[in-house]
Amino acid sequence: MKRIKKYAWIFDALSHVSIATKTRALKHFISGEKKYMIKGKKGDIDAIIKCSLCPNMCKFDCPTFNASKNESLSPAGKAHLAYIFEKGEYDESIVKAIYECCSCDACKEWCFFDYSLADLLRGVRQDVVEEKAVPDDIMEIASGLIERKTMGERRLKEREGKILYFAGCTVQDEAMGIAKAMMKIFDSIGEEYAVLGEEWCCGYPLYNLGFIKEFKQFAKHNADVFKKYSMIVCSCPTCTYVFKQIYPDMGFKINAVIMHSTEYLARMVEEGKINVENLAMDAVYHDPCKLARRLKIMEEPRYLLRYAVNLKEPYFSREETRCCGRGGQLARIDEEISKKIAEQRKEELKSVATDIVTACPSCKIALNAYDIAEIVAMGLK
Amino acid sequence: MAFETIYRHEGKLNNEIKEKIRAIVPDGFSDSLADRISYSHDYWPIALRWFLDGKLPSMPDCIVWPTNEEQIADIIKIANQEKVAIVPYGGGSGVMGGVVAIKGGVVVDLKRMDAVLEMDEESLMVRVQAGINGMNFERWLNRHGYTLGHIPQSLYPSTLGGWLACKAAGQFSTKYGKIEDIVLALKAVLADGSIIASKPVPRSSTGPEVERLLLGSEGILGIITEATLRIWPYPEERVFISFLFSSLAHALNAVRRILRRGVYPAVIRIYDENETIRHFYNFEEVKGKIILIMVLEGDKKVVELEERVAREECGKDGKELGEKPVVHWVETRFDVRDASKFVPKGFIFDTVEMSVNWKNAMQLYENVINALRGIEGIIIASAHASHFYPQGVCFYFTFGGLPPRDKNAFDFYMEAWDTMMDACIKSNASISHHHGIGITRKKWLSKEMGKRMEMLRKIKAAIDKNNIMNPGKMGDVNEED
Repeated sequence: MKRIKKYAWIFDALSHVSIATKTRALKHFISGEKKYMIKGKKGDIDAIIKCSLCPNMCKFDCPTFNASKNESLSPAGKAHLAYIFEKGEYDESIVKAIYECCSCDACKEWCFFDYSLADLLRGVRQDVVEEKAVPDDIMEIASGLIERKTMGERRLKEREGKILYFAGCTVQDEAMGIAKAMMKIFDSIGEEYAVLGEEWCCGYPLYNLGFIKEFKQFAKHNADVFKKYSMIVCSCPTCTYVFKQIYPDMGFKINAVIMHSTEYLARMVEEGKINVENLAMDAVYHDPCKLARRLKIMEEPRYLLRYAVNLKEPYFSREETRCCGRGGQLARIDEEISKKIAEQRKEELKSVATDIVTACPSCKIALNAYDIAEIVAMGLK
Repeated sequence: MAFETIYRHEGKLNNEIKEKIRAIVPDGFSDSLADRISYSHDYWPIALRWFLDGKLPSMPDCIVWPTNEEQIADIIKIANQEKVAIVPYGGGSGVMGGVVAIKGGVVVDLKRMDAVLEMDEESLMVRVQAGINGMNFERWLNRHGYTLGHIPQSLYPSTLGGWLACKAAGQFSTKYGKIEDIVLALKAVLADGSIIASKPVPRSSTGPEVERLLLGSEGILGIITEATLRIWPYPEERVFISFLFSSLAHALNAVRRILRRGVYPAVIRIYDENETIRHFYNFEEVKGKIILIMVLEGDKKVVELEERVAREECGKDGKELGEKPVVHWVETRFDVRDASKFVPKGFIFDTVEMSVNWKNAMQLYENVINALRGIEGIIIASAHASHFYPQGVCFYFTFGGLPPRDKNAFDFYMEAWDTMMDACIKSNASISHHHGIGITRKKWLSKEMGKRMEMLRKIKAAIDKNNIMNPGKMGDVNEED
């Protein structure tokens, strides 16, 4: 009934036209868009068309657009180019634009269709892979990961335990301070935690870049490895999101409880297993995109930080946070834009407090920030 | 890779000229296919259909992103030497094809010039570069306790430079004014490469305000790079009012009386019957009625008084509907999904705004709606009134339909436009209130302007001797308008 009322204005308008026009209008209304659909594509053509025909109502919040000021890197601009690609007319510059996205979902916050451009582009990237049109630098990221099973160096030593600490590639390669902090906290609690000797990447970069077949191999491997644990604690919001949502969506069910480190630490504080003293420092909290927007984890970090620091909020926070610039492998795809995005966000945060705290290894690196685990470890009583 | 373009040009920009331009903006130059496609259009509705059909309006030869006036002046100097076109570009949200580079050339994207340079809270003024995004600017002002009061539906994608160059109006304009009321001073690079700036003072009587020629000039005289704008303290109080009327004339009259008494609500919107059920279908009472919604905002005590006057006048012929319809409008006012939904289904649509005095208002509405309904294939013919003055009103018409089988999409589109423009002129209204001229309205401008068209051409020819600034658009000395 509500749907009929919604279109009452169209019925009203049709009452003024001839029967022939009414009949044609009805036909177009039901199936007019068929001629613009492209069969056999992984990309959601209907959604890409709708996004590309929008006057870009989300672009003011898109990090790649704000850093470049280039319409090609705006959300509707990328959708526009994606449709052109799907029609088979493209060169390298068009394909490259299809990969310039932080996967931050800022666009989704403003979209009345509730589209995430990252989700739309992911389907198109599968078609880029099938078309064998992947740019060399992006192919290198994917093939390196497929070969080495991790995005960088592994630095953690294997150990056995009841729950699994899954540090993730970025922590192991670039932010070992987070892992050390987590291990210090585990030890203080007396937690019997395990670390994998050969931790495989969660596979998100492959998923994000369109290599779905290869991503599934990572999902299968990890799902098998995770079977012996009752709980998995992750330092990286992306790994957490992938294990909690993407693996099950793709048919790889994980029985273990998946927790982001902030969820785990908040529970430990609540249960009185750890006590944190206030470090008497002003610190501003930066919500990582995946943690706030996909996992809706916004209270736990604040709960922890209220114990440990004099917590400050930036103007853009919670689900209105802004990307650090490293989402969606952008730091490897377009380092210059990625750094500009980071600088813009850092400036916003520094205007609130000198010290920045976050809950994601990539954000930590991009913003030169503390991870909450490091703050908690520093304040352990 | 060859794309079919509607406006073809010779592509005079050879590699040697491109290299000269690249040397001026080494970090802000592109001639990639992706960028040339992205800058081939704005939000001209007919171009949406062309895009789906695999056609682009016109491809520029290259795009530059300057960061200061000197770079712009240097690029313009080269364009003058080489006789190549310059097309200024803001947010690309214009709906008239105004930034389509129909003669090719260099698109100058201003968005890297987007700094807030200075705020004078005592004088309620802010100096800002023209490339700033509307929403990011308004958010910046809100953070500091102020508002610009310029909230067009294109707030999210558009820029300050675009507002100035197209003489824009926002949805809150009845209180805060249009962009020409908000701007105090301008800085611009003219077509000859010279840089001009006016004084940021409340008013001056120092001869003709020549810099104001750039307001609404749509890039044909120069490039606006900076402006000083009036700002307002962020409203302390906001009141939502809605009323239902049995006729459009009654609703218009209520608003006319409110303004006559010196009360200027920030937002006033009156929807005709069709648009009332289109936008407020959730409210049972609206069927067959005309809805009027209002937002009054500002100082609490002033708003209280304004509210009393507004209710008194509306209550004479209308029935109060509460604040819920206004809340619904606030929540959905940036919902522009209809174009994305209906264009792929083959429907052609556009919105056309016209301004008219009170005494001719109903005549304009009826003439335009009736004229539209006489066109074969037109299904939607509706309007709302959205900007008000003590002297008159702006009607915002929407048309939509399907081209008859023997007519192509563009011919059908232009038939609707021609019919509306004709009805507009016959009703003593102005052909545009705030969307501007661009490509669509160009042929109607002479009829609107009369002898002033010749004056515009002379001014254009004097400032832009080589006709490099947005050529092929209004005032082009080489073309009959």
